[in-house]
Amino acid sequence: MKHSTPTRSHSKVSAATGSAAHRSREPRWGLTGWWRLARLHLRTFRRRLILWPLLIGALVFSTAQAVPGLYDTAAKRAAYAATAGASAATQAFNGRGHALNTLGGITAYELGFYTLLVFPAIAVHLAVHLTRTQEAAGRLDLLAAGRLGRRAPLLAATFVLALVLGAACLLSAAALARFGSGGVLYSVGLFALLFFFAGIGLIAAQVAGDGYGAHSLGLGVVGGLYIVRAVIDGADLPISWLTPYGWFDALRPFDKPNPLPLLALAGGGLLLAMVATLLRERRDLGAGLIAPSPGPARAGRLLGTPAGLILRLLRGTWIGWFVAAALWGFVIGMIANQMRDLVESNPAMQDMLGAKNASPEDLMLSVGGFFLAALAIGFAAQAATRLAGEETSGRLAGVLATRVSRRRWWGSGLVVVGLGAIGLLLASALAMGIGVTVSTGRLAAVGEGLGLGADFVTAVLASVAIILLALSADARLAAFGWVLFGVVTTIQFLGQTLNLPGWVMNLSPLHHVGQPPIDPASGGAILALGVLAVALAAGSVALFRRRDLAH
Amino acid sequence: MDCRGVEKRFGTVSALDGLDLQLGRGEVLGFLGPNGAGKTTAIRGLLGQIRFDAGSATVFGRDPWHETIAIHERLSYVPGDVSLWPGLTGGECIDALLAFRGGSCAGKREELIERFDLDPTKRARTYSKGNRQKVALIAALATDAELLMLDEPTSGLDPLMEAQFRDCVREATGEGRTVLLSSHILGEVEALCDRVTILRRGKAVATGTLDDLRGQTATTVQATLDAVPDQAASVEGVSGVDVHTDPEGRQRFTARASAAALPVLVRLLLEAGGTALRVEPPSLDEVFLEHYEEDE
Repeated sequence: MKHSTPTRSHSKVSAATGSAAHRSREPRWGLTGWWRLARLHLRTFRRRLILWPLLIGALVFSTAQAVPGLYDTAAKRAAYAATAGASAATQAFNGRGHALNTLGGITAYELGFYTLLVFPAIAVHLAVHLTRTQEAAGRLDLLAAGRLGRRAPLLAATFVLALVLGAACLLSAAALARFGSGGVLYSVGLFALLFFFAGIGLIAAQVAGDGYGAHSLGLGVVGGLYIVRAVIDGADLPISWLTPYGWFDALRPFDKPNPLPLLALAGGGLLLAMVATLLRERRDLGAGLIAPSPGPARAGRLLGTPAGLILRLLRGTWIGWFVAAALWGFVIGMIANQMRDLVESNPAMQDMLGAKNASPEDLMLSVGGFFLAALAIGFAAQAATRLAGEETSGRLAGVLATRVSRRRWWGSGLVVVGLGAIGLLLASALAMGIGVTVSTGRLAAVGEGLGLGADFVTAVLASVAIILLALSADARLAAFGWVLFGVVTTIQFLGQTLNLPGWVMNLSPLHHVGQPPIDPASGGAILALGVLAVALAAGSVALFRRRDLAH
Repeated sequence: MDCRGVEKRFGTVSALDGLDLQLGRGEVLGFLGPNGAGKTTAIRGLLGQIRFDAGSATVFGRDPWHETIAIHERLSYVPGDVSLWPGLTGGECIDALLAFRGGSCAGKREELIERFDLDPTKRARTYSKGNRQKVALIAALATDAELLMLDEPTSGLDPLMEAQFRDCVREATGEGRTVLLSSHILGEVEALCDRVTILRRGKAVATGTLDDLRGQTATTVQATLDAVPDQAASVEGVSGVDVHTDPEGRQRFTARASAAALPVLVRLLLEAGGTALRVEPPSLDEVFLEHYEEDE
């Protein structure tokens, strides 16, 4: 017991024996063994810990490479600032743009969607993975019985996170150094921002009931903050300090550099990590802060079918995505009016849109529609990891040892995930239409929003089928859905900037639909995507029936 | 159930290497073997979860890979490491599994929940290993399945529940059901099984009734006498001869004898004036240890 951490009961015991000397031998901070654990993390998760910063670095690098070629003259940069820079839609997605007459400013603005949403999501994922996922897998039980303090896992995770995010920051700084000291400040700011979000991940890992719940909670907070920021930036409200994004924005690396917000971000991250250690003291190993409540002794009729069971398993996931997508759709819709005002007062913007013969609302809806379709794919990706979990946990083996055939199970999965994704798409598209109606008073927009969602239905179905086809080949390909999600969003948000070749753009099922409502959607493509979805779905059933179950 | 020469490889590792396994209707077969011998792989193959590479396997005369559901309609399965849906309650898990199996016998579910002392309103994530095991056992035993496939079903159960489990299996066999019981608990196997098959490195190394297996295993013979006859050590089938002198100057003889050598050896010892003769049949542990360890 000499090396164990001081627990409350333990200190009571030593108080009872009255041996002050005995107590003082206990390490006070409960950090024993953190360095050993940190080294273990670095070794066991080597690939993951190298891959994520590399991915962040690669995206920053390729954007920094592409921007100078696209905006090589002052006139081009001025045009960019007057159009994309002034667009409320782009600001809602990418944050406020500053110094858009400089290459650094444009690069930062182009990277906005990643810096503000994707990279923070990665930070949260890593934080949860290094703490709660390890705990839920039971690996920590073994270690915690040895010389490992109760707070040591949090310190080890914080250390590794700082290292990994620091590596991403170095790569980013190397890529952005060509834009001067602003590029370095931007990269350090990126580190501080991601470290702050890692702190949110550490807290989510303490609060939620298991690793899956911690991921959902942490990513939910990222999504929520992102939407709040989108409203603030899109509507140009003077309260941007409300979210950490506002602090990051206040760095202004390319026009009015101010390193002070770095303190707020990094300090905030450290504070969150410390709060996490306090929360850790209030919960048991393997349990969340919220105790699970008892439930019904009998199952409803729904649970007796594979589709019902899958529905139940995905219910929480779907609701989370639904809230995010519907909110986002509504926000985008609401900003449409802002766009109209902008266009009316901004001839440059009118030129840009005029060339495409589109109304400002249409431009807004076009970007919004793509993103809502991408969110539906995101839901499918998460649902796929859940289904894969059923298999790798051995629960599926139990279900398939009954009268449930593989075909029925897989078919149920396809139907539930497919309908879930479409429901998400249509509901959020409707919310977008309602948002437009609320802000412009034009009632027809409700139907237009829904119609826009309908244009993407087959593309989303094809994506669902692709994701489940990968899973049907091997349960270890569960993360493929996230790869597709990443490909689709990258092509949407950076495809033009990075000047990706046509065949790469064609990898995204959404790309084939066209640009509704600016240009009418391609009916042939919609039909082809539908046929593809059916064919791939049928293929996935056949594949799943022919392979060994993973266990 | 009938397996002949079944093989399964995972990459370069051979998990099953020509397994033979027969199980007749109404029989209880103990399925034993050291860790990694291939017991679970065999059961997974028989359930159609994985496809055997070679050999023939049938359950109820059907192919487990191609006619999976026809077989599953008549069996219940309990894995050794039960994983449940963390957000569902134990009762919901039982109902879901029972619905997938085509429903339970009237009243059986409540009776079993009572007998196994399970709280069905708790979330599965809060269950201990033993309680998860109970959920799977209740869901399997509450059906009228003809065949019970039990893969180390009692791991994590306390002795009281283990006794309940034995009663349940006895009742099931009383109703004429067939049981395949993979287990490491020799007492459980001895109490429940008509026959056993011992698996080693993907092969059945011994199969038969417990008496058969005892017969195949050497019996320990001890005797005290003035002088050990010279022939005693050279009788065919006698091994492990050990002679030492006790404080009173008499010789204590210990040896192991096969079933055939036993009468010859005992007669020799008695004729030489042996007293305190002890003939000890092999314990079940010895039977299994011999089969687990042989030809290393």
